[in-house]
Amino acid sequence: MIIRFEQSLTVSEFLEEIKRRYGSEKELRRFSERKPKDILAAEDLEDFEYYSKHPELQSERIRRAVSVIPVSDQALSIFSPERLKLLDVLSSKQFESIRQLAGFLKRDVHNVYEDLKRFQALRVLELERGPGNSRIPRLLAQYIAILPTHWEKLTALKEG
Amino acid sequence: MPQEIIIDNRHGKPHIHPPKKQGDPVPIRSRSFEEVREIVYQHAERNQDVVYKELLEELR
Repeated sequence: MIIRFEQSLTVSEFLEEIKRRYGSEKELRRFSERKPKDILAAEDLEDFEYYSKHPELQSERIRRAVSVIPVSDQALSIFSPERLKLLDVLSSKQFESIRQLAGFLKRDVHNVYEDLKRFQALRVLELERGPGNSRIPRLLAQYIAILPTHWEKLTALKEG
Repeated sequence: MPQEIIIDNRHGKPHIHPPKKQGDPVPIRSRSFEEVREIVYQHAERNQDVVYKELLEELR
């Protein structure tokens, strides 16, 4: 089985996302210099520089995906009803903080935070800096696809 | 054993995301999803676990 989280965005949306995530090109450059082993930041910088120099590509679409290959049952818990509802709510509403989102969902703020961190690790969403210490959850993935194959191998592994 | 193996193609090139506290994402060779999945499952079956450093070598 492969679970794919896909995002389709234009080059100008990509540039906005980078500015949101790092603050500015200068800060991205500084971050990348400080953490030379962070390949994704280095590639963010490379793409940012390339697309900034090519304004004619602003409306081009970029497709990105994170594929998750589960190797234990725990990996499938990302599809609990609470987590699916969280994604559904984030796809249609904006929240200024995790606390506000938790209040809307009528859930404990710590549990919502843990769920958000799990999705953040999968690049399904980002937690943008808000006022003070708040974090604004923003959904990145637009499509979630499940490619259900090789279950028999996984089951054999667990039973073996 | 990690819960899952995460492959990211954010910049058009695939990267594997290591389990917690095992370093930064590392580029891997471009392959079809089926091939990657097959390598991961064969690795897990052979080792009855996921040995990240070994899996990384198999995917590079």
